[in-house]
Amino acid sequence: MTSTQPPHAGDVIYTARLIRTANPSHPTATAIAVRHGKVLSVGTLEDCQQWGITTIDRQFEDKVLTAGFVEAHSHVMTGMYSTFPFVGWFGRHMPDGRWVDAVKSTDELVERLRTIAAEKESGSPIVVAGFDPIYLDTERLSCHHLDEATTQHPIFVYHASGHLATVNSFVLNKYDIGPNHPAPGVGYHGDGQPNGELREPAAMALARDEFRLLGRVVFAPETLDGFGQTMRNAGITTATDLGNVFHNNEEVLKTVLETTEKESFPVRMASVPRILGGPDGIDEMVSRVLTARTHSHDKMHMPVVKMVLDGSIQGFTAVVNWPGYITGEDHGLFLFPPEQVVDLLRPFHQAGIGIHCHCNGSSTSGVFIDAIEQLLREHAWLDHRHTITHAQLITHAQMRKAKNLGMSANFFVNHVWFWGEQHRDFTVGPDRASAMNPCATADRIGLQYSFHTDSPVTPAGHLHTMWAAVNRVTPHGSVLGPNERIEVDRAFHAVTIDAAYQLHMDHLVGSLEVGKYADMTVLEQDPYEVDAMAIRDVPVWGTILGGIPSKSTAQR
Amino acid sequence: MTPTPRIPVLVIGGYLGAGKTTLINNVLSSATQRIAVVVNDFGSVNIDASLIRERHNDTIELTNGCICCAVGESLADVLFSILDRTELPEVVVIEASGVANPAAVAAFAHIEGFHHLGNVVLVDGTHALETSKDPLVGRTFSLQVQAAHLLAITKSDEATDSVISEVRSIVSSLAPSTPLVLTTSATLSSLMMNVAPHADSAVTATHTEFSTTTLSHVSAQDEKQLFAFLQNFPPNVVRAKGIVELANGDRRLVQKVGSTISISQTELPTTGLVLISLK
Ligand SMILES: [Zn+2]
Ligand SMILES: [Zn+2]
Repeated sequence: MTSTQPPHAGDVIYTARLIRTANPSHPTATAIAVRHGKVLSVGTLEDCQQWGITTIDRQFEDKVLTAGFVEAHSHVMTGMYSTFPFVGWFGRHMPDGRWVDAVKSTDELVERLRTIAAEKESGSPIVVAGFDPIYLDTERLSCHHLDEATTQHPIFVYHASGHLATVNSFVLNKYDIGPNHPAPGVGYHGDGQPNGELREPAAMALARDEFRLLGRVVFAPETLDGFGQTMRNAGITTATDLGNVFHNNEEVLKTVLETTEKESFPVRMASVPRILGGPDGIDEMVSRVLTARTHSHDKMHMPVVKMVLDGSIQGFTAVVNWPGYITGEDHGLFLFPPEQVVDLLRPFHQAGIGIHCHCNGSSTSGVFIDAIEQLLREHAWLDHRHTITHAQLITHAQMRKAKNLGMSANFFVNHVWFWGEQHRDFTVGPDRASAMNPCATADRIGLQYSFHTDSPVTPAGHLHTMWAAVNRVTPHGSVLGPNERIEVDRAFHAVTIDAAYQLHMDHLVGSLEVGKYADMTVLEQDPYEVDAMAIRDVPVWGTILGGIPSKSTAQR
Repeated sequence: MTPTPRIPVLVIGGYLGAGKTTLINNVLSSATQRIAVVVNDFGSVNIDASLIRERHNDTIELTNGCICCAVGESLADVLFSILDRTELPEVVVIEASGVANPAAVAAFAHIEGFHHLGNVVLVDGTHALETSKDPLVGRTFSLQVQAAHLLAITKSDEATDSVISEVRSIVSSLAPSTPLVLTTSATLSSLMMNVAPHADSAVTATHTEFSTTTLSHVSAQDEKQLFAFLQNFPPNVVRAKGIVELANGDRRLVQKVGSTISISQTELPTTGLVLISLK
């Protein structure tokens, strides 16, 4: 059968070994037709040819195409590794595709810094990021180690946690940081001399010039580009910058809109403003967000807003219900007065803007869910999809209530691998640690959910989150919460259509259905077919974004 | 290297509704110095714009509910931007958010160019009993009180004496050695801002709870001795300010806010020392 319509310029059919659509009506296919960046037809080659298309691109014939992965909680700061060398404990791809090996000891760190210093003019700052000493069994990093790398440059090692930096003696001298410095957060050796540790941004800011370099990177165009490349290399086709202030600055917003619109920008972006300040400024923010939204284009959407309500579990700053943390001092604090949360969220809810609220602790999830209940009593918006993001320690009762209220959860399931052992042994203990990010229970209850990496907190890429949710293994080989493991098909939907749903973008992305963007992740293997423990190792060829192939630059 | 003079930073904290905004408005309207006010809640501080223009004060909006977390938009960046100005303020007043720990906010006051004057924490006389016991924010309340160098119970005229005395005992048990005053926002504002020899009447003339002493000849061998001298003031001295000469002729601006003492370099002439005490 042939079409009566002539083909349009640029029409193309891609064939593949297998296409996984994330569309339960037609879960698999072998060909997909694209017109104007959208899915024209998906099924067999014959189905697709009904549109009269003669251009058939067979380059993916031995590959697996899936509905493009959607990341509903990551940060543009992912691109900071375009500027600052990465020195983390788990190796990682840089935005330009280079693979950087793990830094597994203090000596290796010093060696890296020495190499960097050798290429720099003396006096010019060396800022490196992503250092993660939590697994390091060598001596605690101090200024003395860093002095071995160079005494001619200021060195600022920004740790992965974001809560600590270690500097060398050059920095200590430059800013007159000596014994008995009045700032809390300056670390000392036993003899009273500073050891180079600067805890929390307040102390890090003592190293003024180096700290300011970190701050500037947020708005640097290289950072945004680096974000896009990192996401594409990881096979993500829609990536969220969750919680920015772009809408506050016309200049910045304009740059972001222009950068993302370029054909070379390799990912569709959801830009999510963060709720700031007190209730009196909120109406103004709502109107700014609505105005900014009118400038959205195909590759830049502003579907929801974010509120940050507490800290992190490993930092002991998440607000956790009784009985609290098993070790360490409880630093859990709400970032907004709980009784003010309803007032702060009401204008968004009323304006029909979805809300993603950062809740790591159980207490925090409770406050957010109660606030949404109140808002729904006042104003019946049934399709709100308000989302508890992180939701790591959410209780079963909270999940049942959230489900009844039509809410959604975005689990930080990578934590099981990256910090699960710490949670089991130090933060909340084995019972609650094994119930963290409870995907299977959410399914039993019927609560809608997705996964996120919070990149750069954990590396971008959904094969890893799927792998973590399916296996729940930890670096030393235990299975943390076997009853919360889920099937690979469920995990695949979590990182595609369910993530799109939370962003109110499921009519545009998240599955391969006729009329939606032709966004696909291109894989060398089928994650359903490989051994469950090998899901995260499935090679990513790249993506197809709006019908246009975009090959990963990641070195294998 | 001669140390550059450092701008004093006063942190005003306290749970939501404790009267921080009123206090800041009072500070702006009564102060004679050039003040930069850093507010946490944009829009929530209904600071009278005309006051700001007339007095060349300004407010700077912080862009985050938690002013001490996000890199690139932290309080540090706000303070750096203050130093970038051509006309520096004489004092920086930071309003901590209603749930912030003032100690975490004050931690920023030690970056180059600033010094920390103290944390004044307000306690809402009408709500403190509930807030202190609230399962969600009781701990926040305690941390705020414990971070104070000077505590002030506000709205005491709106609560019964028995409630106020209960609030007093809760607050004192949390922070037994921190001076506690029961006063209006206007008085508190003068107490912070308008302490100077010969102009001290602002605080004491209309208020019977305080008395003022001026020590006109204070001299000290060095900073260490000066610090020890100030430390030995009786605990009812809630505020002190003045410029003192050291043996080598250098001068120091001395400030005491409640339980905290700060000493900084100054070029200004000696003034003697004004002490304001609770009667
Ligand atoms: Zn978060
Ligand atoms: Zn995040």
